[in-house]
Amino acid sequence: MDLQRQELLEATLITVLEQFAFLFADLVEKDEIEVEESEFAMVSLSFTGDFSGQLVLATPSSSCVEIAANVLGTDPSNPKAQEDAQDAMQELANVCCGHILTAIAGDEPVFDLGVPSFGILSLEEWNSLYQDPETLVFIVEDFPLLLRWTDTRAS
Amino acid sequence: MGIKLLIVDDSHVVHAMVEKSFAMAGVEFERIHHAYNGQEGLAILAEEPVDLVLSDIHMPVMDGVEMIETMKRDPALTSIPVVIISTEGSKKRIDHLIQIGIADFIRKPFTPEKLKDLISLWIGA
Repeated sequence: MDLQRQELLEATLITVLEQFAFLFADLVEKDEIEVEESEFAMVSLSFTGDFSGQLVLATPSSSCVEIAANVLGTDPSNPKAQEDAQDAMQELANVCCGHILTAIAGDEPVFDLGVPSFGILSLEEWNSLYQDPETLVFIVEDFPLLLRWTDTRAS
Repeated sequence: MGIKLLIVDDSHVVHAMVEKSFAMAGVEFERIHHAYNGQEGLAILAEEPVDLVLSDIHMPVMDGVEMIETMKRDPALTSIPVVIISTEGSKKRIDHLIQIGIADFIRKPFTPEKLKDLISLWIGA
């Protein structure tokens, strides 16, 4: 991934997370994080238009609840936060994808976003996504978040 | 008389975020109706017209565009302001929404202040 694309993805994710969930994120080097969890949540969202591609976000399953709690302005122990964890991740992916597309292509092209697909990753699948050269690793407050952006226009 | 609001979005989280943001901005409603697609939104409006509709575009069953077009053909509903809240960033698509009669457009993520401004602008409260 070229530096310009990386900076664009970094800036957009950080801004969206801050505005959407009042969460603060930093891009980190891949050797800076270790995970103890064994189950991870992943959302993928495909888009078509002037060019097509896919956004993938992944985080430990317990962190999904933290994201939902922040979005809802409640505590992670609140059952509502646990109930809405998947929905919060899907909405985060939706907002991220829309803003990344505008950052890359401007406001002239028209893109169609698919429905965000939610799934659970094993540790092995997480590690595979983590090692992918297209994956960026963020620390959000105290948990890791992976972002992989691929599109047919990427250099 | 208080303000009646209808929120139309397939995400429960967005409903909660809108309600939380209005509360943070100090905006109170007589009633907030919740619909999760355009068809449900129209069913609620048939029972009880509201002062303002906040709607997403992309939803299952019936999307926001079809709901707005139906509202604009109905003399009882045509004057209700509809504000789109969406991740949409395409100028062309937003222009189309303006052509079919939306009152306003807010891009997600939104702030409590932005939602409060909507109420001032479209309800005058």
